[in-house]
Amino acid sequence: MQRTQALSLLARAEPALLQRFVDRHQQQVPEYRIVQPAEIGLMMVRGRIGGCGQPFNFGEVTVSRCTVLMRTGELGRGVRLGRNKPVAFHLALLDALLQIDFWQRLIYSQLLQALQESHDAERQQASRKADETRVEFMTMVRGE
Amino acid sequence: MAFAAEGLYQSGFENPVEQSQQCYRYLLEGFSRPGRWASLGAINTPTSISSSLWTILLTLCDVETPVWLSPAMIAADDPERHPLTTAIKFYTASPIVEIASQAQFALLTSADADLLKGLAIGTPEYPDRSATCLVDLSLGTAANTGAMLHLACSGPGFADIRTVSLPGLSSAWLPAMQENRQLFPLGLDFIFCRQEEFLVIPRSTSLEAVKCTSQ
Repeated sequence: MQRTQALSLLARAEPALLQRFVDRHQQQVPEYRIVQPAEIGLMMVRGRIGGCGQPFNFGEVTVSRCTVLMRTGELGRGVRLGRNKPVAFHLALLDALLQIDFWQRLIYSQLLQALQESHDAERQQASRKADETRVEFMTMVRGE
Repeated sequence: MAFAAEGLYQSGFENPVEQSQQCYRYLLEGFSRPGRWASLGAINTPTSISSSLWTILLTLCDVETPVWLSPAMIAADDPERHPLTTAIKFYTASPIVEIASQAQFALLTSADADLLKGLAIGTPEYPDRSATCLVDLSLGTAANTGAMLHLACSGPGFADIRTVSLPGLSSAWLPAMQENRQLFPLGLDFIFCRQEEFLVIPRSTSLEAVKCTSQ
């Protein structure tokens, strides 16, 4: 799984889920330091009409972010929509741990797999719902 | 055992809101009353650059301000520490540009007088699209030679002619900065940094050489 994919799943996950994982492994987590304490700020979201027009400033969103550094040099960044400092810290820690092989396997089997599955199921359900309301257009061929 | 790469990550503001607001206030003061040294207080720096320069970078730069480093600035990196560009990207997320004319902030050393011509001076419609030069007087070949540039400054923000002494600058800077004055309302603004102190010479300041016999 790509780092961006993993982070995208984690950033949408239920905060309690991440909290539980970090709490459960508190003892084993290698030594780390918080280099940017969790903070709340605004981030400009930019958009493009139709995905290809000129970029414009869409509006600002609230984000929480945090950065941790492992003793071995891995840098973890946590960013999440909304005002929630603890979850930003948990995301940063998980991002750093994901760069260590042992932890990557652990996080994958205990967190990411389930998240991926529920994410896929949600998507499927949404597209099924959309499919039910599909309108078929028919065109009559005009004879000359 | 020390943390890997720790020094790099200990150079931010301890109190980002207050420290950047304070620095911004000093800069406003500096631009409205040019030619005066002001101290920004000590702060950890990621490399051997002056702490005032680093404070100003942290205050003014963000995702929307391209930064350019002169070759001498890059050469001044301490090989045992992280490159300055890494630190700028980590703390400010500013894009580091290769082409000088694209920069909104140009980081220069005292040896870079001849590089001013390559920087953006703005356009008549948008004179604000010009570069701001952050010159580190304690870096560069002329820095420790005892060279001193004396300038007689006048213009907006000066009640009378005021003599400003810039240590570490060679005389090559005077014609370059005088030419810059001729471009007004276009042109570059200068922030000279030396350890914790900085001094502003905006594009509006007229400069003359000072015949100085002492020193």
